[in-house]
Amino acid sequence: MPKTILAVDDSTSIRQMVAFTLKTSGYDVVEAVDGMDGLNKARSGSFSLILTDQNMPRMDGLTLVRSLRALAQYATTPILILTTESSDDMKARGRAAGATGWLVKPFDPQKLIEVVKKVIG
Amino acid sequence: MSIDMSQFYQVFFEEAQEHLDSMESLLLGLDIGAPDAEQLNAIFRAAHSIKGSAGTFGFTDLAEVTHILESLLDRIRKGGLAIRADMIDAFLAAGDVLKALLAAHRDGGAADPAQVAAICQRLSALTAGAPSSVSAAAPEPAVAAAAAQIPVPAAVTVAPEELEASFVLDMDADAAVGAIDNLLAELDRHWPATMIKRASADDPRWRLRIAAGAEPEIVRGMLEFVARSDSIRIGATDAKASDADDSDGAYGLFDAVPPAPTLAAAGSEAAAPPALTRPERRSAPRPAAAAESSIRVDVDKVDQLVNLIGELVITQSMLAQSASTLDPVKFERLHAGLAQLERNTRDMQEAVMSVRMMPISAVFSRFPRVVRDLAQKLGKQIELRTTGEDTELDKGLIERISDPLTHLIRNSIDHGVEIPADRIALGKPPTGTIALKAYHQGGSIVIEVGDDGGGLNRHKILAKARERGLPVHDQMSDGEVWLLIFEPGFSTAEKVTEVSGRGVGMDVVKRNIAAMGGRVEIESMTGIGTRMTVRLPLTLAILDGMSVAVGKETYIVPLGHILESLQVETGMIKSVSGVERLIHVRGEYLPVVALYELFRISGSKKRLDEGIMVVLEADGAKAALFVDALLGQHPVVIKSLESNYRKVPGISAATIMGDGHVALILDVAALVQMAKSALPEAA
Amino acid sequence: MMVQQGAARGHDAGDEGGDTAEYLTFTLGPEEYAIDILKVQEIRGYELPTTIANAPVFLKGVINLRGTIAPIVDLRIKFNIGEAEYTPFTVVIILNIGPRVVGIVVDSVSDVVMLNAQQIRPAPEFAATVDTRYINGLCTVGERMLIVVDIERLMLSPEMALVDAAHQAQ
Repeated sequence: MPKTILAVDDSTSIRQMVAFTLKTSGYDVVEAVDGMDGLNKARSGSFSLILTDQNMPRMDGLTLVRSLRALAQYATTPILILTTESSDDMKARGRAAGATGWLVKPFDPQKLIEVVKKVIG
Repeated sequence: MSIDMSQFYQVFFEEAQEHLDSMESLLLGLDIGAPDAEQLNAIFRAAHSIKGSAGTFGFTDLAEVTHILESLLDRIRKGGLAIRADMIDAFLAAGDVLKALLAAHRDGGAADPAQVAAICQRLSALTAGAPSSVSAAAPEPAVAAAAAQIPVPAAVTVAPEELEASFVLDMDADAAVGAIDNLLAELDRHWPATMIKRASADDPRWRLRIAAGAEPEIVRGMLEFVARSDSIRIGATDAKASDADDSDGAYGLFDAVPPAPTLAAAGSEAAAPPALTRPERRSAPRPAAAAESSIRVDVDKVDQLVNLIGELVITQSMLAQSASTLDPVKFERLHAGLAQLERNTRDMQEAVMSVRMMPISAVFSRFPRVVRDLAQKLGKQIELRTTGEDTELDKGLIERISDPLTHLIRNSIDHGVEIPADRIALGKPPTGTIALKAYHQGGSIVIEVGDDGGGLNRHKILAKARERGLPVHDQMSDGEVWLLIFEPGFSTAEKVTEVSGRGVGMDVVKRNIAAMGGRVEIESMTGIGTRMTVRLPLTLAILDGMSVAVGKETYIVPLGHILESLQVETGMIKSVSGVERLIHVRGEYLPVVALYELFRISGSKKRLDEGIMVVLEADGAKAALFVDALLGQHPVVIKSLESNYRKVPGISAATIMGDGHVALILDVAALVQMAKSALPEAA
Repeated sequence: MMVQQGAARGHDAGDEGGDTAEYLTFTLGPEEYAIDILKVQEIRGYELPTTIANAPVFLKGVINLRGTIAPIVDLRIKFNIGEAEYTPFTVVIILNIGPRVVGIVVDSVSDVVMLNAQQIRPAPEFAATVDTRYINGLCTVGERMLIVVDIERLMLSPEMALVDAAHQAQ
C-alpha cells in the first residue's frame, strides 16, 4: 500500500504541484487548505508524513506542528515545514515546535522528492 | 523525474489574481488612522503567498516585486512602520504592475520593464522611510495627509540592496541566544532581518542579513549593544553567493528525534525566541471565510452538469408527453410519479444553474478603485455606496457586464457629479455620491448606477442631436431624449476629457448589454441626478423563447427581441420594385424578413397576409419576421452549434425540444441587419 | 498534464512486427473503406436531422446526440456513390474528430479488422472516389481491398465545410 502524505498549503497551485509531484512518485496525497483543515484531516486520517506551509490563514504551520505533536497519534510522525524563510531563527522555531525538518520555498519538484524519500523512503 | 510545471500555471494565475484583487480591496478599505491588524495581516499574506508561488513556478519578476512589497508590509504589520496614504498609493500601484506582469505571463504579452523598475524603486524608497531614519521621520497624522499630496517619495541615502552584518558577541555563550533574539527583534522593527549564520566553534562570527533600505550607521549602533565594536562588519551582500548557499541548504532535517508531546510544549515555551510571542504570530483562528469552504471547479464541468440537466428536463417532458395519453385513473401511480419527477427535475435544474451563479461583488469590488482614481484625477469628491453585492448572476454574464458597468460609472463620475465648488454653490454637500445597486426582479437581475450630480441636460442633448443630424423634435419625451446619448458617437461633454475620450461610447455600452440579452434605461432630473438601470437575464444558458413554424421547420425566437406579433392585412403591405418588402405598422415602415425565403424552406405559407408577422427589435433597428405560425412560448436550454459544426448565418445556437428534436435559435440581430440591407439572400 | 500523459496514445498494440491497429470498415457503393477505430464513438441508426438552412446538400442537418448537437454528413451524397436512401437499416457512424462529434452516413458497416502498418501500401492516384490526399493507403485482407482513410483529415478538410474557416486545422 502506498504511503499517504498530508500536504497543507493555502496556495492551490503549490498544493496541486506538491500533490502531483508526490503522486507521480507513488505516494498517496491528501490536501488541506490551511492549518485548521490540516489538523482536522490529520485527526480523521492516518499519515506517514505531513508537509505544511508556514504562513497560512486560520492556523499557521508552526501552530499546526505543535498541535499535531500534542496528539499521541502524531507524536513521532515526520513533519516537514515548507517555508520562504530559511533563517536560523525560523529553523530554531520549527525545531522547537517539533518539526522534523524544513524545505525552503521556492523549491523544485526534484528537491521535494529528494527530501520526502530521505524521510519516509 | 521531471514535472511539467506549466500545468499548474493556470491555477497559479487565477490564484494570484484573486490575491491581488483581495489585496486591493483590503487596501482600499484600510483605515489609515487606525489600521486593523487582521487586515494588515491579510494584505501581507496575499503578497507573501504570491511571492511563494511565483518563485516556485519561475515567475521571477513577480516574485521580485512581491518580495519588496512583502518586506514593507511585514514591517508595517509588525508595527515597525506606520502606514501612510502615500504607501497605500504605492501599494495600489504595485498591485497594478503585478496585475500587468501576471497578464503578460498569462497572455504571452510583455510587461513594461521600466514600470517594474519604477515600482521597485518607489517601494524601496518607502522602505527607506524608516521611523528611526533622520530624513524621513515617522509622519504624524497631519504629516501623512501632506505626504499623500506629494506622491514622489523624498530621496533618502540608504543602501539600495540588502546589507550583511557580521560580528562577534561581547558576552558569554549562555546569554548569546537571548541577546541575538532581542537584537533580531529590534532590527526587525526597522528592517526585516534574518540570521544567516550562527557562531560556531570554528567561527565565532554571527552573520545577519538586513533588508534593502537599511541604514548602515543605525545598524551599527544597534549591534554595538551586544557585539565587540571592532568586530562589526557591515556591507552589501553578494546576492548570487547567498542564493547558492540557499540552494545548497534547500532543505534539512533536525537530527534530533521529535520530542515527546509534553516535552514539545515545554520546549516551545522555553526555547521560543521573542518572535514567538509577537501578537501577529498568534494568528487567532477566525471564522472561515466563504472562499475557504468552497472548492474550485472547472467551468467545463459545471457546464457539463448544466447540459446533463438539460437532457434530464427533456427526457422528463418526453415521458410526460407519452404518458399524457394514458388513462389517468388506471395509471394513477405513474402519473403521480411523473409529477414528482417533474418537481424534482425542476428543483435540480435550479440547483445546478445556481452553481454557475456568482455574487456580483466579483464585479463591484473593482469599482472603489475606479471611483477613487478617477475622482482624484478630476478633482472631485465622490463616495461610492454599493448595495446588493451578494446578488448572484451567471458567471458568463459577470465577465461580460464588467466593462459596460465600468463605463457607466466612469460616465457618472465624469459627467454626473459636479466638482466640490459647484456643488457647494448649489447648496449640495461637497462630496457627491454614486450609488451602485443590484437586485433581482422577476427573472432578471437589475443593476443601477445612480449619481446625485447635475442630471442630463435636455436642451444640450437635443442641440447635439440636431448637430449630428439625428431625427429629433422638441415634443420628444424626456425618456426618448435621454436615450439619444446611446446613439453612436454621441457625447455631451463640453470638452473631451481624458475619461470620455477613450473611444468607447455609450452606444457600445448599450450594444454590449443588448448582446447579453439585456437592456439599459435612463432616468434623470436636472440638478438632482441621473440613474441608469441595466436589466439582464439571470443566466446565459437558458433563454425564454417563442417557437415559430415555417413549413415543417421549427425555430426559436428569443422573446426579449419580440415587440409584438400580428397578422397583416393586404393594405399594410408595401411593395418595393414589385417585391413585398415593407409593412406599415403604427406609422412605421418595417422591412420584412421572410424566413422561408431566407432559409429556402419549402411547403410554407408565402402570402404575407396568411402567416404571422413577428416584429423584432435588435440594436435599435426593427424588422418584421414572416412565419407560418406561432407555436408557443417556453424556456429553452441553449446549446452551441459551433462546438461540433460551424457558425450559420441567421442562427445563434440550437436547443433540444420536448420531443428530443433539435430546433435552431434565430440570431435576431443578424436577421434585422439582413432586413436592413434589404437583401433577402444576404446569407 | 497533456504533456506528461498524452505522448503515447495510439497504435502500440503490436509486437516488434510494427504498428498494428484496429480499423472499422464500411462500404460506400462498390468500395470498402477502413477508418481508425479510435476515432469511432458509436454506430447508430439514422434519424431525421434538423435541416440547416443554406448548407451543402450532403450536410443532412444536426441531431441531438444525448444533449450534444452533432452534424450529420451523408458521405454517399458527398462522394456521389451508393444510394442515398434512408431506411431503418441506414447507419450513422459517430466520429470523434478531436473534441468534435460528427456523424457520417454510409451504405453499411462491415466489421472490425486488425491491420499492420506494413500491410498498408501507398494508394495510386484515382484509386478511390475519396481524394488521395485523405487516403493513407490500400490494404488487402483476403479477397477484400480496403481503402484506409484518414477520416480526421477528411472531416476537417475545407470541402466538408464542417468547421469555420478560422478554426480550420492545418
